Amino acid sequence: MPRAAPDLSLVDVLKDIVGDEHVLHTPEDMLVFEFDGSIDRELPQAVVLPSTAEQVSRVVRLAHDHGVPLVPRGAGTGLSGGSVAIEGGILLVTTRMNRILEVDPVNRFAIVEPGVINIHVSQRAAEHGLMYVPDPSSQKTCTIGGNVAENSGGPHCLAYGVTTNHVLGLEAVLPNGDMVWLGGYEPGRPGYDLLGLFIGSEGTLGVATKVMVKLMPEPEAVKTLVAPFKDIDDASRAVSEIIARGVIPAALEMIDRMTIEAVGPIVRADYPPDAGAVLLIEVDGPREAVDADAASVEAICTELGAQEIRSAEDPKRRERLWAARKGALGALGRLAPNYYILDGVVPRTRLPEVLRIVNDICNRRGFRVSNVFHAGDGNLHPNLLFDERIAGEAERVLEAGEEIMRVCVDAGGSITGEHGVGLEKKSFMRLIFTDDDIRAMEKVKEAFGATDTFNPCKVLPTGIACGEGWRLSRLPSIPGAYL
Amino acid sequence: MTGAALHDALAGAVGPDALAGGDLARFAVDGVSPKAVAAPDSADAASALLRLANESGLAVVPRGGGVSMAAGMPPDRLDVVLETRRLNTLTLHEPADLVAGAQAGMTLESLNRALAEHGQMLPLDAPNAGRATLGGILSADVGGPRRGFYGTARDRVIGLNVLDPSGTPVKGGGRVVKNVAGYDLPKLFIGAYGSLGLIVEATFKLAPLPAARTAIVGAFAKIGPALDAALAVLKSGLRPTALDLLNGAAYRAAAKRVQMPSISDRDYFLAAELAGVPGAVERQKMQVHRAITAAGGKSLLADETSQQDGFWRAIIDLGRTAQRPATIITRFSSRWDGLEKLVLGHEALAESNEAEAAIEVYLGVGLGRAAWWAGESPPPEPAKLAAIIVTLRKAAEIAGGPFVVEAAPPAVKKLVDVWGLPGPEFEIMRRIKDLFDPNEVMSPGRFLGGL
Repeated sequence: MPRAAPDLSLVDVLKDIVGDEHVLHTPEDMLVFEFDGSIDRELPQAVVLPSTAEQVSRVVRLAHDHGVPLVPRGAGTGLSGGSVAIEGGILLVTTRMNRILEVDPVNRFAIVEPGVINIHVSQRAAEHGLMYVPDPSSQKTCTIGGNVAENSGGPHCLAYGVTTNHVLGLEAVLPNGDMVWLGGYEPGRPGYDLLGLFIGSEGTLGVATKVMVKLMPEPEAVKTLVAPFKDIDDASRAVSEIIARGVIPAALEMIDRMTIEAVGPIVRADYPPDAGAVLLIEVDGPREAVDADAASVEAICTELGAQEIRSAEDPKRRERLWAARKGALGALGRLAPNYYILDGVVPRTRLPEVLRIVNDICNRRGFRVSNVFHAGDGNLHPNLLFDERIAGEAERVLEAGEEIMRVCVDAGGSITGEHGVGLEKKSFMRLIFTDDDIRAMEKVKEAFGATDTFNPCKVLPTGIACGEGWRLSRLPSIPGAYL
Repeated sequence: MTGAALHDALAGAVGPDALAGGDLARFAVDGVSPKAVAAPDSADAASALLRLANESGLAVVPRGGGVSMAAGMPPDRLDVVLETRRLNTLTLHEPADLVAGAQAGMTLESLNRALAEHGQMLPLDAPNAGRATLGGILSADVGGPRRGFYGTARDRVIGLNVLDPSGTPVKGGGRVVKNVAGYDLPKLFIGAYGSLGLIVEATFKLAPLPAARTAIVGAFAKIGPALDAALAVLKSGLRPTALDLLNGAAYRAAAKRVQMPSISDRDYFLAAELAGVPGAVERQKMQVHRAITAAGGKSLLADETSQQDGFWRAIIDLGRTAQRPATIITRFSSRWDGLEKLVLGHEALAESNEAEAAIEVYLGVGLGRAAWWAGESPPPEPAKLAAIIVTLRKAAEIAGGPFVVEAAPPAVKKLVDVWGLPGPEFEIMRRIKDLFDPNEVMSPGRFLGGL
């Protein structure tokens, strides 16, 4: 019979599970884990970096049993606060779980650990002429586990779908520490689609510890086109015309003049300097289809006033055309001390009018706005430039954001296309969902066994009162814990 | 509730003319006759019906076109069959958005007819598409040969309006193609076989109708080379819209319906569909042809579109035609390396039972389906069919994939479970059912593990 041990701090128990060097608990060490890519920030009491699913399970169970908040986190590139330890507690970081366990080119899947970086999957798949489609802008740093949590998109999701369309199955640690497999290679599994519910649950239903992703054959041919327009209005009309005529490009992105100006000096984007907006269009598929689609796209863009359309097929030149798009967010820092990136969706046919209204709102409220977004999906990303050092600016930019969200909803759209609800948009959930809709989501959460301490305060605008003094000030010690 | 009281209460909820009269045995679900059949003409009326059911402890089984009613276990209880056929309106079609919404009782065929006028389609395959309703297709997560290319219902649905078992409207998603607001509730109701509520309306991401389509069939003496040819096609980076392995019985059943040659000296067939711009389709067809020839097969081309359409329709309808319905329909899935053994195992079992098994496998997806005919007069013994199912399930377990009986006579379901044993994640499913349907209104006992 084990003998009772003296009381131990939770940190000691965590160290016992994952090893001393993989638990951080001093404020200096934890500083970089305080925030993600959104606005909210908060220090956890401990950061734990497990290396196996079994360790994840033990840490989650420990937190569950002691009522300590636990927040899963990948690379922290999220844009809605999903991985911020807003109530303190344990931050479980998956970045050490970064092995690609299996690539099966015949059955076309890969099994990876959650901390594997998105682009590494594509690079490994490319060895077999395959690709992993979802490509968020942060694909060089973001993790597959985080992509699963957020149901991440990316420029190339227009034709082929977002993360949920490319994940076959996963192993998850549930909020109580139990481990289960959801889904799998073989389709036709009877039962409720728990995998579908888990993906996009923003880390509130469990921690993915292995992810089985679908790989697709690389297209035979790819062509990238850059079409400059006089203004954003003409460009957005071209977007809906392209879709309306039955061309579904692999990617259809819009970059406005302010973004072009910001990026220009950093990457040699080589876009015409006087363009009010540029469409970046990629078509892929069989050789003949690429030629036909590119010709249609060119014709439509020319019809709608585009001049000097440029195109490239060779990978190096295509990459150069993409550079401005991929480097856009980083370049915005040149324009203002802070920017607030919004994420809303509207039916693609409503793009021209919605963009005009967004522009008006920003003008009226005195914010400069840059637009760089997935136009083909109707997924807007207005970036509002501001300076948080000016008293009241931060609040005012949030108000502008809310007004823009309402415009998207009124146009028949959604409050988020890919960044997630997280902390940021909880209060907007009721703009599109009724209490009954939200109650149905709560039932799902309850069925997965998620308590108020598992990634608290995220997604659902209900539950405990968050950020109102409930926050844990220190980790509890564990009476008589066994080592 | 007695018959008369039930009738009065339902008439109050949905209106007297929404109730079916006459012998209700024709609506029996796995041999269990309902006490009433109601076809509400609005979502509100359907909601009133469910509210009544939830408050009075009635059991309700939804029914669309009746295509997939032989799936699942017999209901533990059955009071009302709820028909969706009068909820059949196209609610949204914005061609320039490539998005459409329709009520659950609309058939796939009528939706696609409306969409085709704008050069668009909902690319889901369902048997008896003229009868199969959108609600039924989503509830049973029906898919067909094009699922590997176009995805399934879970890839195509962007918004769903359902009534929960208490009649409360719940929606998930919306009408935009990209949306991550809140939990992905549509996924929960797709493939739930009506056990969590009634789907009343769905919004879909559409696809443009391809400019050209063609079909090519390779005929092989043995299964190995047929699979080799398919693998060569996939490895070459081609993306056929369908790539099916058919055994002789499946091919000949389809060929007979569209007057294609029966090729009696070959036993395995590889059927591919290529779609897109005409030039690409032609060239890819030749590539598939070369792969077939290189593996020792003989190519057949169905050149006329009507013949091709008829051929695929016949494949999709396999075992589900009114003229010759299969006795049982089973579904299996496997990775590449397990396919050959599974298919041959099916055929050996058919032979030893003097039965016929028409088998199709969606290659690249790893999903197979077999339609079984085990003699008509005298009708096959339930025990014999149950034994076939048990043997198939064992083989599927060895291959590692799930095995489901999609259709079987009620007498057979008394002997074997059509779903098989649930896994450890079933606990979450059980809690979902208990939370959404505490009074067990919706299709009680029909789904996996008695959900």
